[in-house]
Amino acid sequence: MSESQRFAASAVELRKSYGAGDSAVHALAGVTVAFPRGEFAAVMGPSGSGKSTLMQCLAGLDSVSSGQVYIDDVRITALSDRALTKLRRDRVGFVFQSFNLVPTLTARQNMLLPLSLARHRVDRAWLDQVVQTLGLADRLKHRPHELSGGQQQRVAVARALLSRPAVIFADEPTGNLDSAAGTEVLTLLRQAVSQLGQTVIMVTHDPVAASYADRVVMLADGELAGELANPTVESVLSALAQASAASPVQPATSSRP
Amino acid sequence: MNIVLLAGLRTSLARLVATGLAVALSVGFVVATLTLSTTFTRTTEQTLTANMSHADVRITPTVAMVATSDPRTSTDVLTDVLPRVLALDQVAGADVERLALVELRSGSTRSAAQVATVLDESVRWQQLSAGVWPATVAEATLDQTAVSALGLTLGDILSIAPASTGVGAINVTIVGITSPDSAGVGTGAPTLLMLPAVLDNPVYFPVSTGVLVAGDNIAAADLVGAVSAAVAGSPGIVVQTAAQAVDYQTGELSGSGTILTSILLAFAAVALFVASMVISNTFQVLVAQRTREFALLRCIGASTAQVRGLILGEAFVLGAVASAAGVALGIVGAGALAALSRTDSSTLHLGELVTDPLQLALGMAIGMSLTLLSALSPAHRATRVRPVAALRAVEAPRTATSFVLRAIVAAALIAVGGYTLVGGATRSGLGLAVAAGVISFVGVLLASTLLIPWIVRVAGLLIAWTSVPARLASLNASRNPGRTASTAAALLVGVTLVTMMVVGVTSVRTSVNDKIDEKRPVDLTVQTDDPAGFTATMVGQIAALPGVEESAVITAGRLGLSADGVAEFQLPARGVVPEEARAVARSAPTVAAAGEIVLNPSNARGLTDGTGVTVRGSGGERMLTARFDPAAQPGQVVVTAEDLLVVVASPTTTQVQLRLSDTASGAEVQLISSGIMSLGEDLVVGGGAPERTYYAQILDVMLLIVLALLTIAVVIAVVGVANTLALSVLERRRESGLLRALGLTRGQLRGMLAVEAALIALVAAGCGVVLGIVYAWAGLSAVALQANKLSLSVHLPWDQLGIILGGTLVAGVLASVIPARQATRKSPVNALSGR
Ligand SMILES: Nc1ncnc2c1ncn2[C@@H]1O[C@H](COP(=O)(O)OP(=O)(O)OP(=O)(O)O)[C@@H](O)[C@H]1O
Ligand SMILES: [Mg+2]
Repeated sequence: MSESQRFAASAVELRKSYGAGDSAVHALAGVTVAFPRGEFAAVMGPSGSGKSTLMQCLAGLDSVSSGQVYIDDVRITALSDRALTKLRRDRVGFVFQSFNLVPTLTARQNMLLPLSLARHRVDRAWLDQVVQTLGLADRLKHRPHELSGGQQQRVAVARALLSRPAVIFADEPTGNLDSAAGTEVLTLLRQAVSQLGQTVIMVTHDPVAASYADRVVMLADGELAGELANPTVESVLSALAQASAASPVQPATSSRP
Repeated sequence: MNIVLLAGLRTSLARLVATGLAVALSVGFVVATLTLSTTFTRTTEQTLTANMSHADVRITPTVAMVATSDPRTSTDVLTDVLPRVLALDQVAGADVERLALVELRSGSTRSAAQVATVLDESVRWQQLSAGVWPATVAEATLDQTAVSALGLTLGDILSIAPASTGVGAINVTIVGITSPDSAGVGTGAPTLLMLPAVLDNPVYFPVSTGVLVAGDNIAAADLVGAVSAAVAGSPGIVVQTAAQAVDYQTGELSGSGTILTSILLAFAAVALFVASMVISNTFQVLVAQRTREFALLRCIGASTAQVRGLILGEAFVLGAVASAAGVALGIVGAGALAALSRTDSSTLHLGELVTDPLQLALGMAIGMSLTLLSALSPAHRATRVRPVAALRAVEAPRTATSFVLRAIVAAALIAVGGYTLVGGATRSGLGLAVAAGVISFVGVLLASTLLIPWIVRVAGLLIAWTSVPARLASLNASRNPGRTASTAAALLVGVTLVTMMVVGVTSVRTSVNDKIDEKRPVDLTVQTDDPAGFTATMVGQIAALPGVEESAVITAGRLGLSADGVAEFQLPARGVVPEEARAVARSAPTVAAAGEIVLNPSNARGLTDGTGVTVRGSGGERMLTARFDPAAQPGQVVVTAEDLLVVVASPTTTQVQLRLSDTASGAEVQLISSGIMSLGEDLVVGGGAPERTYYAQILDVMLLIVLALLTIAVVIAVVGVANTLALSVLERRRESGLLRALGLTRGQLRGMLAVEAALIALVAAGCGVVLGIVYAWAGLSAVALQANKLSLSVHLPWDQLGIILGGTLVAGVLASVIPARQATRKSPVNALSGR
């Protein structure tokens, strides 16, 4: 147990299959991985390799077929829906690729939503700081459809940061953004990790995005396919090339409709 | 395009189920009404045919024929013409059908019954199931239903008395039991058959209903000619063949049936109207949700006509399936009601259900055109989707002109309708008020699509601070103003009508009760024919009857009144105990204080108000103070029982007054009355209670029926609420997933939808109740105006209005249950990824 306390999130022999019998798809085929506190980790791999599935299972959004998942030392694979919801609310933050915000609420209300749901008090200083850092001060009263894609994404990051969760999961957070807006969001996440000790786990296809991370975890065919500490754009590119060479059965895009 | 239509249908099938239910319910209502109406006519026909099974010709009066004790004023032509008919060679036999209403007493039970004559064997249609036909005036047959209801057997003795007077009862022995009519439109009262001689006694006021004539080997048409010639000159009768007579009477009876059918169809129209709102709303939402799909179709070359065809195609399939289900529902419903009518307690015994294919087709056609017409405007909107919408998520824009136009039309309708409504209610009467009410209500419905979103928003603000789900719910409730408005409007129609009926009937009931209280302040009065009056024991027995809450005793005597310069004159006096009298009466009674004598000013004869009067009776003399009261009964004076006892040696107790519980029903009043009458032969019971309970019962039954009929409209509207919510849930699938990912529990998600539904329902109910009260006021004023002198004021039944509001709220929340189940069933991941 003393070992696991260093980890914000971890998975042991995690399996996740869709369907049954011959047509079953093993999206995760026994993944054991751990993310230490205060780490900015990137998860990479070819399309269909199970990145999103891994993230959803780690975050307690989806049920697992077998194996265990821990968040902040709590074994979430054993929790009831109610307890899981509460845990998500208090200890997990999310940034999705798209559709991050509730359309009826303003930017500010969206940011505070997890706190309001938990009926927790808002730390004014913290809020001001986050809003300042993200450059959203003059956009607080706007609704999502009045914000640009980059601004929406920043609001989502702010929301994730505000509740000071144990871990923030981000699934292709820059997938829909141009490089300038993408850089903004990545810098923000990097700052959160370096300056505030926040743990971030980010799924990405972009070697540039991955180079912001402390460590890159490679997935292929639902299994771990190596990792890379202190990645640079070049090292990521070559590691990716190796990973796809190692699994020739998985042409990068063919499994997608 | 057919492939697209089929694919579209498959995905939207689940979304159309609720709409289909709305169509099926309203079509079912129409079909059931039509089928029952036809069945009623057919049953009538069968009954009449059975009654003429042995007759070839019937002489039917065109006016009621009542025999009176005075032969000169007797209007019974039928009895007069009978000998002339019998004298004809072609006639094998004939007889007059006569009927009288009697009071039937069997043991301690008394009930209304009718006595008919045993017809001549040649035309007699009734059949015996046991016993024999009566041979003497002291014998009778009774129908099977009554025999079992009263628990009688052959040989039992009953007594009957004329219904008009109730005196002169005679005993009759039951010698036969007639088999119950297989079906028939009866009065439900027990029917005795007795020899015609019994009804020759004019105290029964017998009515002759027709002469049945059986021919002797002659065609009916020829017999009509012969009989017509024989009775020529007698006024107020027609001679018809049996077949013609059946048609004639069926026509008369189903005339009243037609009125009933029209009233029922009016309610069905309300249900159809509400259903059309639900259908149109559904398609509106479906079109909005599929904007991108339609745009894509347009991009790849579909014409506007093809897009319109898609929606109308779906509407056609929905209309056909739902209407067919509705027709089936209607037949089953009508069958159930017809079966119910055949039970003993019903006065109407419907025969075999008659399903007319033409009517079923009509129901089908109504349902299908309703669906298609309601889908027209959404289909039109779908054609306005521009191909570019496929690339950008833009909704078909609502043009500003339609908004302004709508507002102007609504304002104009409300202004004109409202002004005329007030005019109709306060000056000209019912016809104008009804027309104005309909016009203004259409205006209100138009305006509601503009106003309700605002009201919902304000109501939402009031609850938004309580919790996050509540805030989200209030925002959701006002995010599609059009959708919210039409959902609420459907509910508004139902609630307005229900409120109007409840307030209207309560007001009439209260006003009638007030009037009865004023005119007849005492529930029951008991008088005795015995000159010695009531004994104290008897008074005690009466007061102790169960159901009696208060009692007062009135004593009587004769007094001589005189004063200075006024010669003595005699008047009957009533002695009352003031506290008793006040406790018994429902409005302020005329009572005297001790030392006071109350008299109507018309009996003054020189006495003056407030001066002393010398009162002398058989037992002594006393000085009392005169008080004039215009409300006092003329021709008698009122003093306290104590004062009367001083001047009159032995005043007789002439009347006992009773107050019954406020909630006593007609049956309970009846029971108390017969309880009193069984205490003594010479007791006479009167008072306001029977009248009060009679009206209360009629009004209650009326209200119940109307509410039952309106319930269908309300149920359809609630289905509409569930439907809108379910569609919204589908649309906000990803949003719900996001919220769940961020920590909204299942319960909170459910709560959010419940609050949203409750908001819409409550706003609709609130507006409906207010509108209903306004329309009830208008209706009551107009009726009062029409009925002259009848003063009706609005009485608000707060408890019932509370039930309406609460009931709508509960229905709204219940309507959110299934959509909420749908919303919470998906895991956040599935919802987020749109799977
Ligand atoms: N609901 C599902 N039913 C069946 N198979 C599924 C389902 N969800 C995912 N899969 C399969 O599981 C595998 C992993 O999917 P996942 O979404 O995790 O891939 P990914 O690595 O995120 O890919 P991408 O980079 O394209 O987003 C894929 O083969 C996918 O087809
Ligand atoms: Mg993915």
